[in-house]
Amino acid sequence: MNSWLKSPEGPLPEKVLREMSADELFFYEDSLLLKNEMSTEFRIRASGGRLVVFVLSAVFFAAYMMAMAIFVKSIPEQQRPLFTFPGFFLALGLGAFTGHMLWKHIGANARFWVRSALHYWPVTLYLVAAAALLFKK
Amino acid sequence: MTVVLDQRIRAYFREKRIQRILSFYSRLQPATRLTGKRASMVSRDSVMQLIVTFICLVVCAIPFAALVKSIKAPAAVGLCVGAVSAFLAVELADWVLLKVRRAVDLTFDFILPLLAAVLIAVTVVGVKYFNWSTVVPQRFEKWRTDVNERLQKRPLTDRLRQTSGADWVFATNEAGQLTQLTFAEAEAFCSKLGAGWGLYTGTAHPEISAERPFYIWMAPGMRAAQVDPGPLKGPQVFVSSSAQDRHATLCVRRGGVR
Repeated sequence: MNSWLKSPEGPLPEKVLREMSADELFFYEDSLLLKNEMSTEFRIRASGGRLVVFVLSAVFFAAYMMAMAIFVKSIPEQQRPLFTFPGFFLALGLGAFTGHMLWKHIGANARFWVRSALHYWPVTLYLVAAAALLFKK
Repeated sequence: MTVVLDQRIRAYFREKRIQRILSFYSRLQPATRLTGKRASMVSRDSVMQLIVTFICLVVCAIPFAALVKSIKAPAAVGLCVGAVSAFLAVELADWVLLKVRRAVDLTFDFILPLLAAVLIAVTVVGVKYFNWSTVVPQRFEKWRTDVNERLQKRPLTDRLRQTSGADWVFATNEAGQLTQLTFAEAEAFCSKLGAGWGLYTGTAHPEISAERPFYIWMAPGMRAAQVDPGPLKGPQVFVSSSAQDRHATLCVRRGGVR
């Protein structure tokens, strides 16, 4: 068995799960999913959250790159590679870190709604279409 | 009534959550023990989930689409009904995946590799001791030829209004449909018509008017010409053919349109 599952937080017997209250179950599932989404090792379950973490990391990477580009413009052209080369990796690392941290600290309820929107993606698409129809009118 | 319904919905989602957690445990154990880490963004589970969701979307959409069509609902109502149908489809997909997950895992982790190993072993034995490397391609080629011949032997229907004229004639069956012959059969058919008759050579003949395109044998050589819809102005598309191929046959009389 994986060492992670031997940790104090899991796995729990079915009886214990059934005795949990609705809120306890909700937060317990969220913690399991979050651990899976944050880890580079446990990405074996279909989880929309993993996609969100990836997209968030990419967005923050792009944002940091843009910020760096603005800064780099202010220095002489000959010295730019000194900043852009390490800056790229710095932006990549910072972007991934910020994306992961944002997802971790955004709260269980927000994560639940985002995961649900992705899991029920056909419904989300219908809602987007309905909203588009409403705004068109 | 509303309270009971609310309780039932809550119980349903609670049970689903418990099943999800239990499934989550079981997913982690065999994945690391048997097949190592599967740290990929697009996992087998994600792909399965997507495929099953698509199938369930189609299944659930059928009755709802019929309902919306029958009552001629406006777009907004259609969207609401669609959303309900989509929600039910996702629920159905979740239920199906929970039920078949173990079977899918067993299939991918054990049965498919086992089948692949058996197939490889059988192939090695067949090639080494039963000369499969020549027998199998020959059988395949024979099967392909048989299928091709069976398909080409079928008469062509609704291609022409008129199948013969004063100095031209198509090979037809009793029902007046164009029959497809091999090159040798086509030559024999034309020579049977009498002295001066032979295969079409490619000149214009507006009297022949096709409704749909088809191929006819041409002389000389084994090639076929496409007869396009409308009056036959002379072919522009040709296809090389073998002795086993079958095409429609147009015979023309020398001194006529040939």
